Amino acid sequence: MFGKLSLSAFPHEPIQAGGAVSIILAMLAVIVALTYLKRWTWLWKEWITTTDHKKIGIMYVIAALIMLLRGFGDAIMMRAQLALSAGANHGFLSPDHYNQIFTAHGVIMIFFMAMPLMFGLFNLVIPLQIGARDVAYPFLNSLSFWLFVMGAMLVNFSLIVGEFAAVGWLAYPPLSEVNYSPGVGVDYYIWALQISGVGSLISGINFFVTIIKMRCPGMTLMKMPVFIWSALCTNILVMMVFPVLTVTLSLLFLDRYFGFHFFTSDLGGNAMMYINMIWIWGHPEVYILVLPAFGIFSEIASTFAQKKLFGYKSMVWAIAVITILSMIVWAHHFFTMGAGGNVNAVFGITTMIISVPTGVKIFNWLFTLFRGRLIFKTPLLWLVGFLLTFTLGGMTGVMLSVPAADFQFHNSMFLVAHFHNTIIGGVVFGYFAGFIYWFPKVMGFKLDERLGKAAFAHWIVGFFVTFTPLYILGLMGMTRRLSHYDASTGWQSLLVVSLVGALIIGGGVACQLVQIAYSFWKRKELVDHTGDPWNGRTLEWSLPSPPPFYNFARIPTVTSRDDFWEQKNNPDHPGHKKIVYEDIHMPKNSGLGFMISVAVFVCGFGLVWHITWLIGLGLLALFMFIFMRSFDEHTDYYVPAEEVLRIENQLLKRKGEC
Amino acid sequence: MSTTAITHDHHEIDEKTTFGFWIYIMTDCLLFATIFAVYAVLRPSTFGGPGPAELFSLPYVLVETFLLLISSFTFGMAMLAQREERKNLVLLFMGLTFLLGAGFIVLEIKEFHHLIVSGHSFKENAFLSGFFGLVGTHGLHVFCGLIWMVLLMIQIVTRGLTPLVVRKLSCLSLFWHFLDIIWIFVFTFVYLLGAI
Amino acid sequence: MSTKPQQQHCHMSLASYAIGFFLSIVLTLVPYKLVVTHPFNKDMLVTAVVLCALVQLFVQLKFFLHLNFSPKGRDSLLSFIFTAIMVLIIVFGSLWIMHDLNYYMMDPIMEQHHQAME
Repeated sequence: MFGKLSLSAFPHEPIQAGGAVSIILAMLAVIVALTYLKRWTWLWKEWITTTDHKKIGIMYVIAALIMLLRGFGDAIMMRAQLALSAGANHGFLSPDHYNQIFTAHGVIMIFFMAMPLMFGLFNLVIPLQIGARDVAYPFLNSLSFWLFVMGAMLVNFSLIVGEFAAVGWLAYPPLSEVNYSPGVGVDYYIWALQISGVGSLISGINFFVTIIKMRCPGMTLMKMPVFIWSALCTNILVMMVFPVLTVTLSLLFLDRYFGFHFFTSDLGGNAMMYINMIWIWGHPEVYILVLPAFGIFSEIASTFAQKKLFGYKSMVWAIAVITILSMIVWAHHFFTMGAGGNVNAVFGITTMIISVPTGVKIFNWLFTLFRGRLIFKTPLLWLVGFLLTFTLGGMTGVMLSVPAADFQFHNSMFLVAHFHNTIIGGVVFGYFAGFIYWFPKVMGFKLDERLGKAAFAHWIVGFFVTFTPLYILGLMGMTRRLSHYDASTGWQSLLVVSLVGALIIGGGVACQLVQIAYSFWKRKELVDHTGDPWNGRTLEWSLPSPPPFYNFARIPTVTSRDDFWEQKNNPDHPGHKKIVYEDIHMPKNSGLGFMISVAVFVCGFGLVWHITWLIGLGLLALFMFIFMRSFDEHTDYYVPAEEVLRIENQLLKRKGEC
Repeated sequence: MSTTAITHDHHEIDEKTTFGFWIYIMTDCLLFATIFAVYAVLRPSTFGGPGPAELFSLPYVLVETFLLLISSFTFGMAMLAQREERKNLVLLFMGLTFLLGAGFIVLEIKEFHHLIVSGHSFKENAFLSGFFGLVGTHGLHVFCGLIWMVLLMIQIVTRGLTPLVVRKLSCLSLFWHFLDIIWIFVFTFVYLLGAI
Repeated sequence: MSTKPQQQHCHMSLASYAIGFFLSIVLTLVPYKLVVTHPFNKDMLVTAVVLCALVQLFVQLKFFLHLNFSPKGRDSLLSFIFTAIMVLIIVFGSLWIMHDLNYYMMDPIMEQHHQAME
């Protein structure tokens, strides 16, 4: 009846049970609060069914921040375990639980923190920066958001029912095969990634078409803001590699569920093919994450240096070259797994070449800052921190790209330190900077500066205190994914330093949470009526904050690269002409994106636990909802010109008041 | 709201939708490319079992190939009829396409069934896993295409050839022709080269 | 008529479908006959069969999918070319890497191949 699901699937270990109970309590608290405040209809009408890219973006960011807390909790537990468990002391986590934690940490941080934060920023910024009223397919946008949420729900469900994978974040077979991982952990992993991965693929197509087809008149490719360029290339990479991930995970699923032999260690299966394919996806994935950060920093550099970006064309070409090169380096993740000199040499060289366009970008940012009138607001601090940290991370990356040296570094703590150096120093710093930079645009008030600076200080100090010891430990021979080590190794003192660093980062996270809460509390004082709090250069700053749901009352016409800057300094700019209001074509809300995703979740849960009737039920519901969507003709409507005029006048009045 | 503005909007949406669908097909290309690569890597791994030359019957597969090829042509005819706004002719050609597609699926299931009962299921070795994985994925796509075709036929009957229906029809047409192209590669790389 | 999708405007006609259909039949039957009758050595046969498939790919792209080479269809064409490059990278990259791994790891199947070749 319930497949593999039985009472024993519920957690018994105190730490896991604590996690489960806290998740359930948090959910209950939300439900009670919503009922008490009578906000269910509001939630359904304003948020769950919304097709407005700005609201979807906000939900993405909130979900990402919640998952950041969970992933960070995992990180603290790992650091604490390693600081303790030398010699006779075995720490407070069992080896199996420790394995689940490092797996969950990697999976959550990449798929359920970085990816949604990225898509959140895309949602918030892309249509505004290209002068569009929405994305190309608003319904699909809602669908991919809810698919992502359901994937994240599956990961969190694994805390309450059953277990999570204990196989590392890429689930290499044969360990992830059913013989060696008979539990449901790997199945949770497969379906959480599969569901959110399909969501990412849909988003990728959506934003690609948005950027290609929906730019406002005059915005040629070479007049797009660099953030849009980075988003374009990122989405191209998403579309190129997520199908590979889908295939890889599907084949692993077939192996586990139906007894195929793609990656098994018997009957001719080839586990190396899995590793090859997962890295065809996995390497571009890190560029998918970091390219938008490059775009964000380009915007921030020119805004806060108050001059145009140095070397726009070289910046664009660097992004394009990185996009292509990132597709031909994947084998450097398994130099040590048996390939010969030819393969290793080729992939080692392509890897080293990537540092050239990346170096070009670093110099462009530096020259943008050089002799600029710098305004030291928090986003600029993150940029400076990024330049320092990411350059170091890049250099250790070049060290790893030498195949002969990689035999020493591979799977050591040195590698762990390297990728955290690039991902925290690049992706996380970048997205935080973007978060602070665009926060006033979306919410209508700025974030508190002092707490923002405190958060930055904690993060940058904490980062180096945490990861410098890991570089040293890697060179001392400490391998990754250890839950216990011998006291005679002499690693403990450095691991304690690393724990201290993680706690300092924790202080940074706390500062950020307080910053958001405090700024919300003081939102009257931090309010921004102008819509242009940073003296910005691109189209999004020409709108009021927060923008009306249709974004642009009149689709702008662009004449130059930093068009809003141009408009502010040139009285003849077409943006100053009197607006003639017209009817605006907008998508209607739809609950089907949410409902389809729920059906997929039910199906996924059934597949994890081998509950056949639940799979059938999920598929049936899925088909029914798709059917309903297919037969729904009334998906959009027109906002009459008078209504637009009324809203615009209201916004003008508010602007005049300040 | 003037009618010219509405037709202008429809025009824009048409272009956006077909382009987006084309991009989806590109991603599907990569999906199939990956499975082809898996098949190519696993093909020698028969683990002592029979290879493609012994297992597959070429004339049988040729019939399957022709069913798909003809269905591609009849779908093209449906698209032509749609352009002349001849609703019944569209339905006739779509019905034909559906029957041919369904025939293909039936033949494929029979082939799979035959292999499994004669002891050559996907559980036997990696080569057969790769074969069932590749050909099965294509079959699954064709199956989804058939369901979509039925939905569209219902909509043509109940609503006629409205702009929305026509937009979906041109997407399905891209999908159907695309599946035919994938099958050519399956036919060539799995069956023909397997028989050499 | 403004409701018709752009891509299909220019090239869609009975003649184009008929030509495409005819060429596809020829390009299916020729490799089939070649494989069944086995007229030349293995390498040439493989080349001929693969060549037929590639030609048929372009025939169907042109006559069935109406991928056109005019400025209007530029985005579709460029995305196709880009995808084709990616497909080549992924497929041949994987095959090369996997061949290399099997060779150096002395995979039993590879061993058989080498023995058969000698």
